[in-house]
Amino acid sequence: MTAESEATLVRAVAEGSAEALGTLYDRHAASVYGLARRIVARQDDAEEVVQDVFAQVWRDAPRYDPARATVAGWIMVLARTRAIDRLRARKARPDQEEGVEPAAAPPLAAAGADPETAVISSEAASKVRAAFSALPEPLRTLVDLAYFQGLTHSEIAGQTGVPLGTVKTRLRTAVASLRLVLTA
Amino acid sequence: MTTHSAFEEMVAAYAVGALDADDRRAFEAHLASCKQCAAELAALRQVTTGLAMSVDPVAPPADLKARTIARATGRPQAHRETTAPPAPPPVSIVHVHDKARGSWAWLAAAAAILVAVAAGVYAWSLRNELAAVRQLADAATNDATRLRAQLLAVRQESAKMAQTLGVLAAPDVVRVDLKGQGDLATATALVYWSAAHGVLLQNGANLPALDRDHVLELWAVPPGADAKPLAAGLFRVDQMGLVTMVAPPPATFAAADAFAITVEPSAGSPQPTTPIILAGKVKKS
Repeated sequence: MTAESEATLVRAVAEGSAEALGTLYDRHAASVYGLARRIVARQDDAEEVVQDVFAQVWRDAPRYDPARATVAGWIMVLARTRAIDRLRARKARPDQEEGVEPAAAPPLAAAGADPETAVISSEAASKVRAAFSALPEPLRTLVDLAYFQGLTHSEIAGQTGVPLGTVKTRLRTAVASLRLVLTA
Repeated sequence: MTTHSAFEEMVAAYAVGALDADDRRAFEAHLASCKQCAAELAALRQVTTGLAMSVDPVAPPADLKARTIARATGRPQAHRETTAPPAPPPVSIVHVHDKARGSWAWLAAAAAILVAVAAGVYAWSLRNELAAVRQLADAATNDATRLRAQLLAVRQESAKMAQTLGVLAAPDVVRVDLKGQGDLATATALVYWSAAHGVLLQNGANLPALDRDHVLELWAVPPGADAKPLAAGLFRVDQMGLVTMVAPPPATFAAADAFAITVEPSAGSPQPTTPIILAGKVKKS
């Protein structure tokens, strides 16, 4: 499961191979589903996120650029984005029946790989993970509310009762310290 | 206009999706033309990508794969795949992968470094908050100083008022109307005098405006043909053209036949040095 073989799989998907998509699913679906379950509360929403993500992988495979993202990073950032979309749609219409499609996903980036992605080795990803869990409590919660709950500065301030200026300062501090561990 | 440094402060929040709509639009407009911010954002993308990749995998329901592939490709999955023996749960694959590749030693080391770094950065942010609190405290101290000064002024005002009322309400108070002399024929002032409570000068009108070096001095003229005037207080005409002066009980005289006003140097004089400009006799009751 080298980066090259992953990229080769995506090329096969781009050429229309459902089997290659199935292989990508086997390799990444648990991570996507884990992230989705963390972000959206409901199981049916998390399953929808998985379907959204692999539908987008199928559509966007021709535009995947290995220079800009590893396959795992690409898929996981897609997963985070789709999960936040679904969470917002669910919040906007909380009484919606299970299994009904929430609002349509926003249009995808016009060209190229997903602009939110960066190439990051699994080792570096593990560092970020260790860094995240080592963050002091108020900072970790802030990153969680922003990145995994999709809340903005004001929404976080409103929800936590922490003054807006403090939310901004602390979140910046938290992200800065996560970044430090990558350069250390 | 938002400055570059303000945008610099937004990069991290933008990377994790925390900017409010207005800030986000402003930042994206700035990003298009700022290489510095674009580079910073690219670096932070590593962090966010790492975060997305750092969540524990969870095995999805077994039937989700067929539904997912069918919806993505718009065709049902090939029979060969659906009838194939089930793949080992992806969770275990990922874990095996992690263990095969990862060395927990460096992870622990990285975590230790991070704890130190994060604690340092956190302390730094606390220092910032502390500085903000100190500023508030300084502002509060300044307010307190200002209020103390105001209180002092009010107290002085109140003491002056009490003294004024003391003179006016004194059983032995006498009222003396002072009238202008010579060129200052229209000038008037009113003196209330109590031997026990002091002298009050009020309702001065058409008094001469003086420079900084001069002051008006009130004199008490004791009974007796050759009695010398005794100093009873200094005053100036205020910006409204009004004058009020209250002086403590004069120790130097117990009786007065008349009061008079002269212009004197700003420190006052023990004896009049210029001609009297206002004068009035104490009416004997």
